[in-house]
Amino acid sequence: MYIHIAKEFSEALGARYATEGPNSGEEFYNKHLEPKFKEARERGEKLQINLDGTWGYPSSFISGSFGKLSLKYGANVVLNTIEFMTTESEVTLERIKKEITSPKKNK
Amino acid sequence: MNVENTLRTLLTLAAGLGIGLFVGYCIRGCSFIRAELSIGELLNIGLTVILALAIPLVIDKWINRAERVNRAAIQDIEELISTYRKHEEIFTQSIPNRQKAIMAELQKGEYLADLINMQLESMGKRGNLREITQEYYDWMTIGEVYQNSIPVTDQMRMSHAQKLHQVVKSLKKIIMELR
Repeated sequence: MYIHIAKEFSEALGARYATEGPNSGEEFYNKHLEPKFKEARERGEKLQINLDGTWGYPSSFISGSFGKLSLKYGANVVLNTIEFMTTESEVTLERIKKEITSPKKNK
Repeated sequence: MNVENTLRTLLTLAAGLGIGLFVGYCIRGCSFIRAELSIGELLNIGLTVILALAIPLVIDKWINRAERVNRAAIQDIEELISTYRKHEEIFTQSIPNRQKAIMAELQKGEYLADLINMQLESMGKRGNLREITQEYYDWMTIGEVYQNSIPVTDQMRMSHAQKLHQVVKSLKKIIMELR
């Protein structure tokens, strides 16, 4: 299982909620992240996520997608299922992993 | 730069050798100098001379390297501050896609911050740069500021100016510690 965010979703990532504009974390979560995450778990496979090629990862997007996934399934399950790929920014990867490990609860 | 350093090292060694030869020549007639030397003694003297020349050179090189990294880190932090100051334009001009503009500008800062962190870590100074930049990054990409649909207000400009002041102040504090 594989998701290349820039190619399959968008290069310019939006805010947290779909009501806040296009390409939001919520939209990514509903359309790509959760369905593929569930499928990968059912198949006993890893979900590879390529982070490269975007304009950057807004904190609200990260929280609204990866943070939400972590709150629902637990940090260990998420980190054991998802394999992140990046050659561009280790900082982004650290930021996403930090959000998964300690997700912020939002309204 | 490397050729220059190598030449400097060679010249220093040559000068040291020259001084050694000169001193040896001058004191060769002194009564306390023994004419016979065993191989072991000779090696011992040679090793002492090499160590005496090498230790200051290694220390000098180490200090020079540390100074260069320190200077580079200060310059990069100053560049990071200028990059952040340019963010004011996002809030003073009418930019149709504010999200894209914010991310493009923040990414420049991210790469610089990453570089500065590497420099600080190589000097054994693990600062809180990551936390400082993270706080600013979060502010810029969470809330109304990061929404194209919400127009820029005076309140938004003022909040940004305050946040910018905080981050610049923290970065300048790191510069002061490095100087």
